Amino acid sequence: MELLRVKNLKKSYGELVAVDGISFTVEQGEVFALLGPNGAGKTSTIKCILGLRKKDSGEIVLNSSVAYLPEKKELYRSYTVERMIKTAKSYGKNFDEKKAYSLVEEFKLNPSEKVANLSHGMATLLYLAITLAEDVTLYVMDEPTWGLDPLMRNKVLSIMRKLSLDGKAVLYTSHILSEVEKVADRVAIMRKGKIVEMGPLDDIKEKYILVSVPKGESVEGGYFYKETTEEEIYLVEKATNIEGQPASFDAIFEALVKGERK
Amino acid sequence: MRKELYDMRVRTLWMFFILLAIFLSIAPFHKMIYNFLEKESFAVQKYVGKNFIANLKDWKFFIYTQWFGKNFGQLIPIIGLILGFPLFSREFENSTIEFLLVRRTRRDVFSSKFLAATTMLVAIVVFFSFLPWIYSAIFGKTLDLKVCLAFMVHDLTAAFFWMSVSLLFSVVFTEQVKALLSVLGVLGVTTALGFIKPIRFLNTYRYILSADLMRSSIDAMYTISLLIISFTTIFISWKVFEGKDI
Amino acid sequence: MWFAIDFNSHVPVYKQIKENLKALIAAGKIKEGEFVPSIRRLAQDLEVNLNTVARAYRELVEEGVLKVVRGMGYVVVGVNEEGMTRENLAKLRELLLKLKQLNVERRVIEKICEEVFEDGAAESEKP
Repeated sequence: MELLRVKNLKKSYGELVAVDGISFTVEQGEVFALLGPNGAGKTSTIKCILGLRKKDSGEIVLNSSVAYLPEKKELYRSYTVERMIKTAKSYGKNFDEKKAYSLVEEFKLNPSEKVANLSHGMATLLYLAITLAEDVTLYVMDEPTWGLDPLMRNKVLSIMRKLSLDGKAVLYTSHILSEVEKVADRVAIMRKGKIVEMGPLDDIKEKYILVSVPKGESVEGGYFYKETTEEEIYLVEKATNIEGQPASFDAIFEALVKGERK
Repeated sequence: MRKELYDMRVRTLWMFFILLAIFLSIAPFHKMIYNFLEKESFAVQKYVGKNFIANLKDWKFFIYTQWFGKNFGQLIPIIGLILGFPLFSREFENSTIEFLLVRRTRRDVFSSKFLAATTMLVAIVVFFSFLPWIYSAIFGKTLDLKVCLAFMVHDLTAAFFWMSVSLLFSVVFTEQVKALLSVLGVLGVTTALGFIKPIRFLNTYRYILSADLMRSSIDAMYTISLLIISFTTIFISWKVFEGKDI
Repeated sequence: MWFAIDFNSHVPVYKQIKENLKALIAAGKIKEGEFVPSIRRLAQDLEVNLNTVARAYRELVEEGVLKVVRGMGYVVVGVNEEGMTRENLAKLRELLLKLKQLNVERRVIEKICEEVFEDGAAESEKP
């Protein structure tokens, strides 16, 4: 089932075009990752979906309840963790207080601690607990693991994975590729407000290969990846008549985001 | 709205205790202040009218001029301002506004903040307008309730007006300091410009501290005008908030 | 059931699942006629998406390794030995070519063959 459909979304700030006509859908039971360098338009896209920012044009159809973890994990600094959860309960529609507390315990947070005294990572975990305690079908998370230590990050990733197995969906952004590969089913790679590649991770991995040519030569339709002392390496779509090396997702991402096409 | 009231607790309590302290530093010392001024009457008379000090002997006159006409009155715009300026700017500045806006409609968020601030404002102004009357009743003095009510109407209107102005700046600016400085600027400029005769209506203090109130006569025109401007400002604030990119 | 998935590998995850399952079957760890874990279970165990496991199973069904039993799940038919043999012989051929280019003497390779076939080292070579 389609939980979210974005069609031809456009958003600019004055002269700057942040989101330039992108389209994608998020289906039930999947983890969908929006990837791209800073300023590619990921956060703008998410904020438009949530109505925090007004889109210039395009269509956003949301067929589900949504919980949102913002890029800035800021909660009320003068509150205690406990009060923050109570506040989230009084504001949320399907807020499961018990779940919030069990997550807080799992994340090793002290309920009587003041939010102001939490480290960045701990504040992120508290916001995650509050977001995940919301019983909805679509979880929108902007950089959910940023600043977490590896153990907590894995815990969060496995929670995200579980959500998708339980028939929920996750739309999230990240710039940590190794983590995306672990958890995302489908990805969209954004560059300068546009989606340059989208699909199941496995398909994208199978779609491209790396080809090296002597310097000065170029590969038609290829994306420049990097150069060695004597060669230039290009990312190209697989075809029977081209021989090349398998491309890691890292390499695919880097070449597509650089976007230097010959 | 509970959260909004909770968020305002520190500010409101501070204001409450400061106002209470000011009142308690005036009311019980009526005789002392009067005696002191009488001794120094020669020096003081240069600045105030001849009868002023003699009139101060009268409890009513003393409270009207020293509480309503001075200390409390002067703080009226500040009360509105302090309640209004952080409402939104603090949430923007701390990025907590997103927490609210994904959980509630903008209309809900706006109205609960506006209502919470208005509630506190009414509570404070009404309480401190009646306090002298209650104090008088307890200590066997007399005060004209009608005059207190007249002051209260002007004080409520003016405080509400300044709250609405600071609300607008609170919605426009994403930093608390900017919102505060802007509304202080407006207060300063309008008050200063009000010293020029043809545009003296700009000075809201003339309205708040008006001597006519001692005869319990309310300036209806000015009251209605201020209310109209206030509601217009609140409406504009709502429109700005409704369309604001977070 | 669990086996390691290398998420950072350029080999797609569904292919890794296929290879691992085939190896388990070939090694006799999962026998003919036995059920493999449900798509959901395996997805949970490996922490991958349902679609990824579903895709691996679908292709294994197409290759005749698994078969669908309605309402029950997926049952092992057996690894297509002919196909596996052909595949591995091709790999061996490639390796031999490389060794030949490296001027490895035929005698050395024949010796390996003898060793392998005589003392059953092949068993321990299996993954």
